[in-house]
Amino acid sequence: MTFNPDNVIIWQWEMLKINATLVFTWLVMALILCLTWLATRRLSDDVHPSRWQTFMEMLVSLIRDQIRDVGREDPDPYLSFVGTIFLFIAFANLLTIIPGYRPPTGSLSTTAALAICVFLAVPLYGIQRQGLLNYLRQYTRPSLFMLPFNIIGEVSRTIALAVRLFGNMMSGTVVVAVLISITPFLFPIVLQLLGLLTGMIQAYIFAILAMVYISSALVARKKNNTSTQNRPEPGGTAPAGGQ
Amino acid sequence: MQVDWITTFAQIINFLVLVYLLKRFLYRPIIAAMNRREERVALRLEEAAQQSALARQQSDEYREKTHTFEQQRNQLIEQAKREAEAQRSQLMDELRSEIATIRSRWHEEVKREQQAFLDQARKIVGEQVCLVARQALGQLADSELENQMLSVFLRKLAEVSAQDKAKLVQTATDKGLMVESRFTLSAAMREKITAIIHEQIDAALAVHFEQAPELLCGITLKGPGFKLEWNIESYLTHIDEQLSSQLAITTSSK
Repeated sequence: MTFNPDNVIIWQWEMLKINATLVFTWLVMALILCLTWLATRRLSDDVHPSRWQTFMEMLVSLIRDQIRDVGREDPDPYLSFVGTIFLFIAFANLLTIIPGYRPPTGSLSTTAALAICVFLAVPLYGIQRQGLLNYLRQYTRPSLFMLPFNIIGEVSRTIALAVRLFGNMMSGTVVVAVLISITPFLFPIVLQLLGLLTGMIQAYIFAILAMVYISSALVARKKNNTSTQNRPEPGGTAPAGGQ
Repeated sequence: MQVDWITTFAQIINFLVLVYLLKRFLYRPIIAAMNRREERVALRLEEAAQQSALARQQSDEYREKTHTFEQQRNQLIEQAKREAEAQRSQLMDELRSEIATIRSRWHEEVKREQQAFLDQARKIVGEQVCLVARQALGQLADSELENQMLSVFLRKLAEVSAQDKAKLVQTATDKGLMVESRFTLSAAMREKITAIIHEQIDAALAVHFEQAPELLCGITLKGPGFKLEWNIESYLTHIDEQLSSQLAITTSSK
């Protein structure tokens, strides 16, 4: 039995191939965009919006509040990135209740892609906010000797981010598959429900950690500004995260 | 487990496309709609607060006006009561005064009418009594009434006490005595009276005679501090008192 949806090839032309990961990713994207269309096709700023609009507003407000709680800043610049991570992973994991569906997040390629996006977004947001030199300078704090450790920390937390999501989702799929072969009744359903919960938790964790990594760069800038005004302080190291 | 880098790259593209699409079609419109709604709600709340403040202000004004009107109404009612009371007491006083005036006028009129009636009655009765007595005496005794009255007068003169006589002599020595009568005394009667006075009292006293129309029927002897008479006036006065008391009883019973 194949657990990696990357290996399920649907269409191939030489090096180019369309596997189940891409197909289910497009399915998830189409579903999200469909809901978006439903929510925003009759957008109303009246006090009685439609149900879909209310649902989406509630979701967006929830994400904004979480970003604001973590970053202590205006959530709107990070909403598109962090919110999309959450929505994509959440919907990708929720659809596991559909038989035959393979979550794209069960593929290390997808989680690696998301982790790479976070890996790139953190310095981009940092550079955008504080400039290239100031951002690069935080890797040398508290001293130049910490440069390789900071870089290793940056890379390792990205890998941890990818592997954590992949491991959780893939393990759920594997455990359900194994249980179906052993005890075909009841237990797989319970574990499927557990998998739904795990999937939502993973979506939340991934999005929150992404925001934590982004805000760590902004916090470092704030601390730098404070230390230049008051007294020198050792630079904050971004949390590596983990589960 | 291995990473398919082509799939990874494609997923990065997919993710970035999704980020763009959601930002374009979800986050931006939804946030804009929420902001507009918040602004509208804030605007409505502000309008509601303004209207509430306005309503509160108007309510205070109306309450103040009502209070003022109530005070003015009470003051006007009090003033009207006072004026009505004053007017009532004034009217009552005027009415009492008018009633008292009418009553006193009526009393005076009644008294006047009573007096006139009594006077008239006394006159008529006296005249009638005199007339009746005269006719009766003339018919019965065959003598004139005057003679009978004179007889009675002379008998009363004889009954005067000695003490009174002595006092009369002392006081009437200078001016003498006056004999008044309703009717004209004849010369014989005058002589007879003078002789009796001289005999009974004092021979030196001067006696004057005079006719007095106010005497209804009778004869009077007057001296300083002394008076002796027989007159039908006393009887008529008694009748007058009886009539007056009877009239008073009749008036009070009405």
